[in-house]
Amino acid sequence: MSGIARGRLAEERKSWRKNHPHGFVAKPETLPDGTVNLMVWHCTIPGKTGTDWEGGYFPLTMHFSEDYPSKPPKCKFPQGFFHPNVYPSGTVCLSILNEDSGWRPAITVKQILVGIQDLLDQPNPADPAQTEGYHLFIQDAAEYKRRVRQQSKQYPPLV
Amino acid sequence: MKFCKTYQQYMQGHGHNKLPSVGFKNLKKIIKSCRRASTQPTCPDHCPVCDGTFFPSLLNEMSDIVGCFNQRAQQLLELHLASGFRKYFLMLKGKLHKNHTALIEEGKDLVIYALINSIAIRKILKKYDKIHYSKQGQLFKSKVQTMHKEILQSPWLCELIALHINLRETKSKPREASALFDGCYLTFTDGKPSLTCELFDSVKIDIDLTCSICLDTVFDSVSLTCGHIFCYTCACSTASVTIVDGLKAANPKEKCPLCREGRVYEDAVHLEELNILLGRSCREYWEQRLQMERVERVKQVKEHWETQCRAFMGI
Repeated sequence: MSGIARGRLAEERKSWRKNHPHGFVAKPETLPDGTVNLMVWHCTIPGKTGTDWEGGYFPLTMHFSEDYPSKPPKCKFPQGFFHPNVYPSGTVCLSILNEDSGWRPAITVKQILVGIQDLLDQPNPADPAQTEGYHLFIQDAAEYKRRVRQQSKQYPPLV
Repeated sequence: MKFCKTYQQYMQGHGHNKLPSVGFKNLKKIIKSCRRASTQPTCPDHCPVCDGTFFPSLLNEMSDIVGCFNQRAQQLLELHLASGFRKYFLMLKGKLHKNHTALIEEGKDLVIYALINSIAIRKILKKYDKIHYSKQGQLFKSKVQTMHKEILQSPWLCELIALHINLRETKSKPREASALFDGCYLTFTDGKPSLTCELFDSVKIDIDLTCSICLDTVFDSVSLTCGHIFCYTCACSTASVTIVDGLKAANPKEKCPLCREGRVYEDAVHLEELNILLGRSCREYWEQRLQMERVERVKQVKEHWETQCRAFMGI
């Protein structure tokens, strides 16, 4: 299966370099010896303009298994990332990344990243992944907004 | 000219073939009688006048059309792809009397037949929704797609278009295009291929030939029963079967990678004509992919026999 996974990821890379949404970054990991590891991608998701997430450039790591694209990649923000649908470990909880619900092999890296960007400002309270983010989102909107803005300042653009 | 007239003229012109068609006039009558019978300005969501006769008769007609189209397309492709003893046998049976020009014409007629009927169905369902101020027509269309009665889903349509291009480009000069038909082409957009077929009235269908699993041009293409096209190796990998076992061995629970419909692998169709067309149009890519596939197949065959031997020896 790995032949298919690597071939697909090479195509994804080619397609991304040709055309990708503004502000986003997605690059396969470069190992210390200079070789490229297509199975791990380091990405950056910009906060949507006009939202509390604006100005933040959030790092995300995508881990692809040898069964990709039959199985979805695992997407992780830094540990302790503040969002109702992000586990304390940083793993993103999103239907399209769930093998048993919304994942389809036709979903591209581009679609995943845009989907996660949408999720940032539109959390899904029906599927909470962390206590703090969920409770503030439900019970204290003002404090939730303040925390989001604070976090956005913690992740400025990398010049 | 109104589509209804164009459609009737076309079907009458092909009356000698006794091809099943959409009872356009009859279905229109049902809708009109419903309009008269209804005391309200609009029909309720579930209209007994329509739902009792309109949808069942349309479904029967669609089944007949798809069945007839698939059968005739298969026969035509069998004639073209037959080789060696099979070809000799068909000649003896008298089936192979057609020359290439006749094959082109018949293939073209079948493509037009498929497209014009799909337009007719779309138009009558639109009319239903317009009169009823409902979405029942659209819902019916979705239901029909899951039942595989939608003619544009047929893998044989894709094969026929490929056959038409193959024959036209290799064997003979095309005749004058009929008034209905603007032709079929293999087009490339940003290096990605698609089959384009144009009918009168600027009606155009595009069949994307990029495999959504490897994101490359489909290689050794196969169409699942839902109508989606993939590389054979890619389809095997998503169905969790080896190339040796093939798609027939797939678990019925395995879903299509695009529409997530189940039970789509066991009756998958190998698109031979499409493979011929793509092999000729993308030679360099085809050769490269062929070598990669060989390596993968040899590896899988080796693994398969090793496990068989282990099982046999009880290791």
